[in-house]
Amino acid sequence: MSTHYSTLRKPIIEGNKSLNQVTEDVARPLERKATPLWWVAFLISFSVLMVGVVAVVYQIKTGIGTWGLNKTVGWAFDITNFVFWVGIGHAGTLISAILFLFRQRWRTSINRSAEAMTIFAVMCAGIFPIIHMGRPWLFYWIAPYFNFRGPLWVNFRSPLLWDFFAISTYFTISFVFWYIGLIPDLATMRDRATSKVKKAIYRFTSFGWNGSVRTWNRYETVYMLLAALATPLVVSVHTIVSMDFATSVIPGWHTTIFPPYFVAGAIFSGFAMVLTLMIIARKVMNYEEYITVDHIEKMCKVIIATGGIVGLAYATEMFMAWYSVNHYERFAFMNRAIGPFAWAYWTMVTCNVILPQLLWFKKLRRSIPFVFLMTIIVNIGMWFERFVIIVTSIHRDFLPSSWADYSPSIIEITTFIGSFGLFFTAFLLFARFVPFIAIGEVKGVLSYGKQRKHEPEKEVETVKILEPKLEVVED
Amino acid sequence: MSEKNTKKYWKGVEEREFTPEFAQTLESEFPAKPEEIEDFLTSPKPKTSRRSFLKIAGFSVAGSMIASCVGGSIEKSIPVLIKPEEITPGKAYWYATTCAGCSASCGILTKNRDGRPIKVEGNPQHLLSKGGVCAVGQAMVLGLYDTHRLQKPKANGQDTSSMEIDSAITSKLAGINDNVYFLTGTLSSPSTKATIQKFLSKYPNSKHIEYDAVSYSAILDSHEINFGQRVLPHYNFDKADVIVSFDADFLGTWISPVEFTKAYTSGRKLEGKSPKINKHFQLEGRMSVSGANADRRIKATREEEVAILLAIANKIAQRSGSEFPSWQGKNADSKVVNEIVDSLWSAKGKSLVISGINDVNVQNVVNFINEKLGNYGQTLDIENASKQWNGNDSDVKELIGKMKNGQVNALFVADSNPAYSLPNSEEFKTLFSKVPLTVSFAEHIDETSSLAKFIISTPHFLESWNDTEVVSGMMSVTQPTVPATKENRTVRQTLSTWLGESTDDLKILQNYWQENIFSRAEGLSTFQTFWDNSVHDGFVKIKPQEPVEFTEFALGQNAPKVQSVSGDSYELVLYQKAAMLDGKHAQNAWLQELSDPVTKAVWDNYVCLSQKTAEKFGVVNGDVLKVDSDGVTVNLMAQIQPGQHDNVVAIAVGYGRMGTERFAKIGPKWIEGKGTLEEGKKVGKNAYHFTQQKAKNISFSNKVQLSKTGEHRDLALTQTHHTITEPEKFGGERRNMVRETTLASYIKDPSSGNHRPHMTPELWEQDFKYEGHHWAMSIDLGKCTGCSACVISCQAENNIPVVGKDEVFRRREMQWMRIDRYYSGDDGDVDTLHQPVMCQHCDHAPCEGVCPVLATVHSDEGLNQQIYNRCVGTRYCANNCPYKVRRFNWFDYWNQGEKENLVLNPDITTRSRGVMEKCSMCVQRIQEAKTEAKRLNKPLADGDIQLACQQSCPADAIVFGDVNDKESVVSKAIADARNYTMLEEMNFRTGVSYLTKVRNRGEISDDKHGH
Repeated sequence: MSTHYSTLRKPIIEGNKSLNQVTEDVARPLERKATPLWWVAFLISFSVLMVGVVAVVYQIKTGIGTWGLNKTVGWAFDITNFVFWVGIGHAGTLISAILFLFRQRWRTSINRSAEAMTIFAVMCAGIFPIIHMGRPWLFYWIAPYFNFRGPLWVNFRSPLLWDFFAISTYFTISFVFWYIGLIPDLATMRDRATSKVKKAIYRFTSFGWNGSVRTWNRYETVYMLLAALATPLVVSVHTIVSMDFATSVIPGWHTTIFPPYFVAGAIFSGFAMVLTLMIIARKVMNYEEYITVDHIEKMCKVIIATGGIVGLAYATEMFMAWYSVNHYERFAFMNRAIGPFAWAYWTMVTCNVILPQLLWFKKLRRSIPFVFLMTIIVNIGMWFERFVIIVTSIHRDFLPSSWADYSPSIIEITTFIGSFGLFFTAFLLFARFVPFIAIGEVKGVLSYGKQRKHEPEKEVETVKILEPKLEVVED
Repeated sequence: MSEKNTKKYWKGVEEREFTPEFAQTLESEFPAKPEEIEDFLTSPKPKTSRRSFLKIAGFSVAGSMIASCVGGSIEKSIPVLIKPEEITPGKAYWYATTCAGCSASCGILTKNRDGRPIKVEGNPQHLLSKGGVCAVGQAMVLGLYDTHRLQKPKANGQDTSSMEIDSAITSKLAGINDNVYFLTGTLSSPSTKATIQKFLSKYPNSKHIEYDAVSYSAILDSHEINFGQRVLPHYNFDKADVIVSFDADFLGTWISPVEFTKAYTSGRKLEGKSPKINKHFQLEGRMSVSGANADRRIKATREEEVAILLAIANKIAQRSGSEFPSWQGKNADSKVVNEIVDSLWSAKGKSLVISGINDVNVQNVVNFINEKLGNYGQTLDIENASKQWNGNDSDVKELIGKMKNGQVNALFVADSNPAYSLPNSEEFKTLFSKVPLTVSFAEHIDETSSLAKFIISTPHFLESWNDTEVVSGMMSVTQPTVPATKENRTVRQTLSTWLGESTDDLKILQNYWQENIFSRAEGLSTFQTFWDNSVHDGFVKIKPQEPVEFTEFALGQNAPKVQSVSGDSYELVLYQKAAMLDGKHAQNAWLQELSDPVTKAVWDNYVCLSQKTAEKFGVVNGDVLKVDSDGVTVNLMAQIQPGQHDNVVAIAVGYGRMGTERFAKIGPKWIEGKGTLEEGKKVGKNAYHFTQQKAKNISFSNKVQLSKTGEHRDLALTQTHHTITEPEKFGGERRNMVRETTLASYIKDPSSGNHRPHMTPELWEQDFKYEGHHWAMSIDLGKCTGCSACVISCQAENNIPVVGKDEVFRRREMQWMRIDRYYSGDDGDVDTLHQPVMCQHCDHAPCEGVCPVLATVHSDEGLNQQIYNRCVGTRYCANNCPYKVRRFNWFDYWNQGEKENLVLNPDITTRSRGVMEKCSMCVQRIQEAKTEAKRLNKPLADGDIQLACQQSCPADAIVFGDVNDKESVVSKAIADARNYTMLEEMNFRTGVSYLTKVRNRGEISDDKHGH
């Protein structure tokens, strides 16, 4: 088995995989029985999800007063969690769309799962704006739908409305993009399926993929177009989310730096979450040769870059607060740093700015336990960033008479934890039933077929069992 | 101008063209003939067979029979074909009556809708209260619908009927020959008083004793010594240029606060080129509402106050060349003394010295000063004395002595709760149960009535007739606004029944008036006219009583002496809270949830102490302290109060009332929710235990020791302690929310203290022209005393729910109005400012843009409107509101089907869970006034619209109107140099603006701030 190794460039996929091996590796977890480990993880996640469901049902039944909010602090955990999850969702689109357009081929082994993560994160995010409403059963009033109440229209000036459009567009595009990328792999699964039911399901979901050149050609065109379409969304979604705050008048929210700052923060947290999941998945699912230490290192580099932008944003905010001579603004930032929520602010700075500097060291970037720990820290930091922005700004705004403190209720905490339950439940189901790695794309980055001319032709046995016979689709 | 209308209207082209076919159809009754029936009835060979006709007819009959079988009993609804007299659904009727919330007896109007009162407002014609009502008066309407009010008389704890209880009591009375006592609160109803006298005259050695829980007895007693007549002077604060108050909270609770606030603020109008306002000195150990408004506030213990008082008396005596004994107190600050004496002397005959210390010897000196300054007949009127408070502490002491000796055969108690409020209430309880016949006239089961053998249930004042002689020569009438329960009877009616006279309360009252009051009437011909006019107006001015003979001023013999505190003992001052007063209305939830004007606490009483004292004991707000006075102990939470004297602690009376256990469950029930009280506990603790029966008077101060218990309880405050100046570590910037200046600076420059921010140029200079009305409000901080009457008025007008202590603790109170209280200065010498804040109705409202569903929008008259049924509850508007005036319905705060809900204003919806709400600037009142103006076909005049908060303000601090009318009061206020809006630099263009507070002080260097 002697495939060419470049002396300059390491192969993206290690282990000198043959095409069949890739298919086998990816299909294996789907075709065997679920492992006990999967069951344990699934049951825990599902239980957490159910606890969250109970909390949400209770809260909708009793009233939003079951959260720790008050007349001054109208948003806290709810919108913090929303922005947190939307932010996490960013990595998927970035990896699949922007890195695709930039021809970063290492993305192929992680794009599928990162996109799946995006979809699940946006699902988690989408819950919070709905349940945070006083009357969540009327959430559809935010949509500009045809109605007989006047007709009653929505307020196009409200950033919450833009949010509704941004999030629903983002979810739709992300889902379509992910699904289109999935079609060839679903066809592979269809072809390999042994049971009739499975075959039927995969046949239906693979939209009659036949693997012809024309199909591939059209597929790649669509994929490219969708990537181009999704690229602005990477920027737009979090820009609009940031406008929920930036368009307000509250010192600490009313900041023009928010759009880039939020986007960078989103990528920062999103990559951290992708890494958290990948580090577990590559170990548990034996994908260490697909998701290599090089992958991890590259992502660490993105983290340190975006983390730098975030750190710069923090510094700029502080500088502007001082430089603007607006004493409400100045107070708001002083209050962040030394007020009652100073602990949250300094947690944020430590987790997002100080500790990630360790990633400058190559040794640490390549240390899997260290990176794993760092990704967790970054996400804690990013959750606190949103908490700090939301709560510390409104809890002490203009009139000191209305200043109030905030502490979350048990229902709020449970709802937040429950959202992790939803996220992991969905992700585990994904890992169990959908090809975790994009088979078709990974094959494209293998060394297969890249032998140089002067080298002797290798007889490759694997060619014979290259692909199972293509099924003729009747239509 | 009107041309003849020659337009022709037509329904269709056929009609316009008037074709012959159309003309034909017009003739027949039905344009299109119902052919089947016609055919069947007329044609000899109908198309419809007889068989099918009967089939259909039979089916219809059977069907309608079956349909009519469904359903239960027939409910007869009665349409208002014959409208009941006086009631038009949807139209409010107003009745003038007299408030019985406290003994001050302000004139009120009640708003009746659909036959029941829903709102109390001030009677603007009333000679004393002049349209003001306090928070307690406002809340009385809720008390009317209290489900815990007695509906029937009780004999030995069992419900009974009037007839039975009458025969039981009269048979018992038959066996009693003498020593019958009647104990009441101040009774200023001459007719009731006469009936009691008539009743008691049958029994020798009997007496009617008046007793007030919070007593003004010393003032009356001292006048008996000085002038030979036991009278309470009628104070004219409007005539006083200099007011010196020794611990008398005359703007908060003392004697007649609404009347005094009206008079006081009328002396604080900044008019003309060199305006003059009164100068107010306040000496006190705790922070009172009056102290918060004083021009010069001097922190002093009672001992220091008395020393200053004596020093002033000495100096005044010297200057007036009269004798004063060599009485002296300890440590009188001579600087303060000279300052006050100079002020007083320069305002001879136009000054007023008052004291809230219930000690006859102190009052004696106060009277001496007033006499020597020539204030009697000017600022104090004893010829036309006040009859608002007439309690006599010595009489009560005597009664208890008699009870001890078993000399009391029967004791009747009315409108008084001695078993709760007496210094030795425990002793009273045992003595009371030993009296052979005890009868209590009561609205509620309270500490006293629960021990009485018989309880006569009395009606609420809003459902009964009464008369009140507030001040000699001024009668106030109380008329029922809703019929009382048959079994509830007034004292007058009950006694009259026992005497075998009329049982009709109105008749008794009218008879009394015909015989005694009509003779003092001025000018009116017949009694009926006189009576009708009096009832219509709610009051009547009559000739004063026969002039009484006053003796030459004689100073009392005893030097005032108050206990001194030193070392580890503290002076305890007992005070009344503006909402709770003496505790009579402890069962009123609105009042319990009204935050105190000074401490901002609700649902509790507590120990107020200074920062230094708190540090000494190592306590913070909410830490429980044990207050001990010779074995009388009470455990209460600490409340750190700026401006408090280090040696003084203060506790409010009126708490720990029986019956307040009912509030245990007030508030939403949820996983972390706590009830307002622990089950079975009362609201607060009774502090009357610390009062002391002294030789002549009941003392409302005491000497106590404090100790820390280690316990901590939640103290619910609507505003926590944050000063307007940011803490030093945050940069120490002062925020310009409240602005103030001094009189001297104001005269020099009317805009002093009101430095307007530098505005940046506008992109859209005037984006919307308000061409019709443009509503605006102006609040004069110089007049607002912080009394909080407006808050309850707003609560009553706008159906604002009570949410309970736990919700307030979580900072979720629902009141649309709040009164922000700020302190300035260091803790040694603080100034207090009150600022009423409601929705500012910004023309550039931050809340409006951010609502995704357009649930909050701007009207073309400048109002920011909230549409409850459109709101989905994102709360973005509240977050983005810089004034934080929006209130969210976190839970379903309304309890359906309770009798209390009768108090709801039918013009306003109650808001459901998950909906935002806020001040609407009483849009219902604006609409009503506009409709009325339209009906009468005349333009809306300035002052036609009175908002709820504005109407009841005793200080006239709030004005409202149309800024497009340049002559309106509000336009003039906005044009004033003192006018400013909060956060002006943010360009929200608020509809509410404020006027700088002006204190009567020397010039200050103007802090040109606010860049």
